[in-house]
Amino acid sequence: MTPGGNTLPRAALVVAVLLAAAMLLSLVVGAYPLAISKVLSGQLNEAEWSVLTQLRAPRVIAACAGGAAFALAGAALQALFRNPLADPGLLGVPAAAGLGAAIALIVVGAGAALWIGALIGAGVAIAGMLLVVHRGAAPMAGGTVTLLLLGIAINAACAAGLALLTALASEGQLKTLSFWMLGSFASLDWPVVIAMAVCTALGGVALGVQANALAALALGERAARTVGVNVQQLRVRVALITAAMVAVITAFCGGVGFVGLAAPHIARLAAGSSPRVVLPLAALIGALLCVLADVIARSIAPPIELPVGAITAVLGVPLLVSLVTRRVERA
Amino acid sequence: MSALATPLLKVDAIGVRVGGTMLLQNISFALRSGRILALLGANGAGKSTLVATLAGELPLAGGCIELDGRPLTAWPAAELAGRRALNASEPAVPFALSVADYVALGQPFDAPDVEAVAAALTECHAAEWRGRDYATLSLGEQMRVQLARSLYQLGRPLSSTEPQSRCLWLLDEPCAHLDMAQRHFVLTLIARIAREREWAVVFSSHDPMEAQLFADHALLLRKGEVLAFAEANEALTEANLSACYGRSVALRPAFVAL
Repeated sequence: MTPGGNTLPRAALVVAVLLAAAMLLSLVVGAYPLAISKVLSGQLNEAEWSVLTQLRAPRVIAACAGGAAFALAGAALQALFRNPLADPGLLGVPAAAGLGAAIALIVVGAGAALWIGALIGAGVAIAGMLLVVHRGAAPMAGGTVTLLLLGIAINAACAAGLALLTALASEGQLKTLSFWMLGSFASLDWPVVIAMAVCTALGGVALGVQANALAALALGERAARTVGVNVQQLRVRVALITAAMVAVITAFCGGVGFVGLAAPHIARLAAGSSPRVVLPLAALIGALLCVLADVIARSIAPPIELPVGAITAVLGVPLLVSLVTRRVERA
Repeated sequence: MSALATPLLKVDAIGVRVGGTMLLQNISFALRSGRILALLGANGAGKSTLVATLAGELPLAGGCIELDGRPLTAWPAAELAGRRALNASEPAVPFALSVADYVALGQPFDAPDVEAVAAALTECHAAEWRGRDYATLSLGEQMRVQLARSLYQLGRPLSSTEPQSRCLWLLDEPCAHLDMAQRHFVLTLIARIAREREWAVVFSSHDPMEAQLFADHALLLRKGEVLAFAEANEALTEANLSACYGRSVALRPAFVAL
C-alpha cells in the first residue's frame, strides 16, 4: 500500500523480466516458427532473418508501444477523473478514430487512407474537446464532468455514425473494418512502428511530468488546488496528451480494449496507488499484456490471426470482475 | 510597528458574482496573525462562498484581497501553497492511500519528509493511523488527518528550520458531521495551532457557540453582506444573531460544557 522507495523497482524488475521473456517468445512463435537458440546466436538464414526483422520485430515493438500507451492513458485518466473505471475510450478518441477510419475505408479504400482517416477522426474529437474546455471556464463547476459528458456524446455519435456506415459498406470492407476495430499489431512497417514508439515515449514522459499533480488530485480538486496544483491546466494537459497518444496508437492498431483499464489496476495492486509508481509500472504491464495477447492471437489457429482486442478482453474481463468483487467485499 | 501588528489578511470591499447573481457584496475585514475569525450566517448567506473566495477559487467582481500586503492574484501558486491552506469537505479518496501518504500530499511536488509527516500526525493525535488506509477511517478521524495535511503543507521549512508563521488557514465548516466531543477536540486543536504558530484562521460554522468559545472575532453574514464584524463577544449579541438567522434568538448559559 505504501508507495515506498523499494516497491517500484522490485515490481518493475519482475515485470521487465517477464516482458523481455514475452518479447523473445513473440519473436520465435508464429506461422513460421524460429528456433530460440538460432535467434539468440544470430545463426539465421535469409528467409528466417527477413521473418525476424520484417514481420516479428515490428509487431513486438508495436505491441509494446501500443500496450504501454493504452496503459499510460488509462492510469492518467483514472487519476484525473478520480475514477477507477476510467479507460482510454472515455474521452471518445478511439471511437472517433474508428468512425474516421470507416469513412476513409468506404470513400477512399484500405491502406494508408484508413490510418489517415482514423487520425483525422481522432483529431476532430480532440479539437471538439479543447473547444468545449476553453469555452466553459467555470472554475468551480465540474470541468471534469464536462469532459466526461463530452466523451459520452462523442462515443454515442460515433457509434451511430459507424452503424449507418456499416449499412453502406461492402462485405470486404466490413471485414477489414471489424478486424481493425478489434485491434491488431500485424503488418506494420518500421516507420509506423517507430512513430508509435516515439509517441508513446513522449507521451509517457509528458504524463510523468504531471505525476505529482495527478497524485494530489486524490485529495479532490479543491484540496489539490490549495496545495498548489493548477487543476484546470492539469486537466487540459492530461486530456490532450492521452488523447494524442491514444489517437496515434488507435489509428495504426485499432481499438485494443481492456489494457488501459486493467494494467493500471494490476499496477496499483502490486505497488500502491501513487501515479509516480502506477504510471511507469502500468506501462510495463500494458506492454506485457499486449505482447502476450499478440502471441496468443497468432498461435491459437495459425495461420489465421485472431483480433488482439478480443484476446485482451478475454484476459481482461475476468480480472475486472475479480476487482469489482473485491471492491464489493471491501465495502 | 512590528510585522505582526499589520493585518495578515486584508479584505477590502470585495464582491463576488456567479452567473448574474451577486453572492457577496462589499465585504471588508482584516485579520492579524495568531487571530481566529468565525464566519456565521444562515444557509445561503455566503459563508462557503467567502471561504472559497479567500481560497482563490472564485474571481472577484470588485475590491481586493491582500495576504501579507500582497494581492492574492499577485502571489505565485507555489509560494501561496506554502502560506495558505484550505480544509473544506472533501470527496472520498478513489484509490487505496495510506494515512501517511495522504498527509504527504500536502506538499505534492517535493519528496515526502517522513519526519515532518509523522510530526504533523502526532500533533493532530493521529499518529497511530499512519499505516492505515485513509478510506477506512471515520469522519472524525479523517478530519484530524486532513488537519495534519494542512499542518504539513504550511509547515514547510523555507529558509529556516522554524515553521512558517504568517500563514492563513481556511476551514469551511470543520465541524460538520462531527459529534460534540470531536468538534471540541478539532476546534481546540485548531485554536492551539493558531496561537502557537501565529497563523491567522478563518473558519465557518453553523454554531454560534463555536464562535463564542474559540474565535477572537466573528463575522456575521446575511444575504451576502456583512451584518456585523467585531470581537466575538461584541458581535454575538441577541440582536445580531436574531437578524442573522431571521428569527428571535435568546442567549442563555450552555447546558452542556466540555
